[in-house]
Amino acid sequence: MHNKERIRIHSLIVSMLLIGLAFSPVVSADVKMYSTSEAEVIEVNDESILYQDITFAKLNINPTYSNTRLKPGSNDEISVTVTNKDNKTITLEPKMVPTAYEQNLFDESWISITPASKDLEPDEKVEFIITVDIPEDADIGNYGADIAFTDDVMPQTYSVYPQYINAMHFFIEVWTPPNIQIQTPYVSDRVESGEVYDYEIKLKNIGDHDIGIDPEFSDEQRYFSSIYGTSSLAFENDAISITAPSVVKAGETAVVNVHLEVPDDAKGTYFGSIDLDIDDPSIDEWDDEVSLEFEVWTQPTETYTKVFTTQTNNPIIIEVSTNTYNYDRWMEADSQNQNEDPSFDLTLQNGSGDVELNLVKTTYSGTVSLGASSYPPWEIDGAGIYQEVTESYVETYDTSGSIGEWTLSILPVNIERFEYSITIGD
Amino acid sequence: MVHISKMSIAILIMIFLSAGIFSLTDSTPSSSVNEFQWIGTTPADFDKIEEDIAQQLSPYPGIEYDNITLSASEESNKIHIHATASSPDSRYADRYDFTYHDDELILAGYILEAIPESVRSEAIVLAIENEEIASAMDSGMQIKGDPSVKQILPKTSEKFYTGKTLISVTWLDISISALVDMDTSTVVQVWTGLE
Repeated sequence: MHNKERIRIHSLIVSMLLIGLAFSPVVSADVKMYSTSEAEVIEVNDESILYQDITFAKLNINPTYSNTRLKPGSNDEISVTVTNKDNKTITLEPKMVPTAYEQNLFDESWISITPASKDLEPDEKVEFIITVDIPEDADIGNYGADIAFTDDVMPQTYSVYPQYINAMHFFIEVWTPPNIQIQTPYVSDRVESGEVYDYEIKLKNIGDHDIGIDPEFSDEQRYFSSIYGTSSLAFENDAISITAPSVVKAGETAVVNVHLEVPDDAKGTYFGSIDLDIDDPSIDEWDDEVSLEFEVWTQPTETYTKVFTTQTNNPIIIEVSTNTYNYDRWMEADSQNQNEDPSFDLTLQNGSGDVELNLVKTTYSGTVSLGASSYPPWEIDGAGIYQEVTESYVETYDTSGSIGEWTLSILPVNIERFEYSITIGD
Repeated sequence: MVHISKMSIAILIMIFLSAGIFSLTDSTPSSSVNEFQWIGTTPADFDKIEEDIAQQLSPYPGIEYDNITLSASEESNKIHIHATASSPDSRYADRYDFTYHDDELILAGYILEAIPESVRSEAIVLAIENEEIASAMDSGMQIKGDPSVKQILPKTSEKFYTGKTLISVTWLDISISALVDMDTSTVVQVWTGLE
């Protein structure tokens, strides 16, 4: 065996071992234990696998991966070309073989391959046509399998399914146009502790028959990870109640009502999802969830304080600013949350007590686009008409200064984030 | 009795026909229900301009304007007119730019965001479900930003698909837009800011 081939095989084996390790339930320092079933546990020494020579037919398969989307009752043909790169005649007998980690396994009757077999001379190539027929009653979902052209398999023993070397992977998504539209794919809002909110999830039945629904909380997403690690949620599901009809009538729109009572002590963010449990074959099991995200925002009652020292008697100029955030404007129609205008309450103290601050300037600013290149080409007819992209709000105060220590207190109102600057002197 | 029944039917038919005729006679062109309000200087021939503007307004089906404000500026014998049309059926307004020159009114530009809420929501859903847009969003791009939803008039649509009213759903912050045909519930074009 040539060194290059040996390296390739060893690389393949190492890759497969790494994949196997990722899914292996038990790992020790020297000996790996791979569970193939409840009844059988096989111990394999790494060294014996890594340097074990295997022989197999050397074929070039093109393509090695196929991904197709088909509706029940439809069919498709996939062409695969196999070239003999070996120095001997190889008999090819393509067959469908199952693989691990697929949502669904193909029924063998769905697939036919022509020619059924072929003796391939060295450097000869042959085109196989894989015909896929999806029956009318097929469940929608993802289906995967391998098409193996020879019986050569990897010497692994940890998988339920043999790993065929001369194979192409075959993936088909069986789908149907949905009979029901989830017009509110997610609910996301900024909420305040102690407040009550109502949201609507609209479902439009565009099919010709009534469709049952049974919305309830999904068990997924109970916790979320952040860069600081795993955090608990701002509140539990019991803060939210869901009411909905049991049926969405054909041609009609139904509303799933989500009522949120944010607990007084809630902090952080809530992540969750509602499984609408839509009883229709056009909706995949995982496609009828509406995610919920609520960021609990608390209006502070304590001020932010900044102590600073001045070395001169020059005037002090204080500027506080915020970028107004138009929070999920398109979802807001379904909520009661109406953002209010931002503002600041400021106090300034020195050794003599409170100092009067003069509001000398209030600035509303923003970025306005006139369209053109930053917009999609079909919106070019809007070029020349003003469109506001961002907005900001600035308050500027001044007061006469004196040498000494000062304390600035800022209470932001309806503001999520703000900036400040303190300038001594003009 | 039979004679009376026939008479009754005849009378009823006459009533329905009359009602239909009166109904047709009473139907008012949409342009004439528009309320125009000029801000600033009103051009001399504002009557003609209003009449022409009324013919060129294109509210989305289901939208009826209740207020249209107009502002005009004149430059080199051309009058530039900006129209903002609002409707109780939408939180957003339609905006039109016209030029008026030699008795001719030309639609120079438009941003039409007055779209019924249900259409707006449906267009966003169709855009989100598009494979290309979904994959862009799956790649970690923030989708929290508010997409703009605009009506695209047939004269623009024909350059990109076919000459019919379409909807543009755009996330400007991530340079993604979907051109949506609401009749077929399909995304007919996707813009990623790269082309």
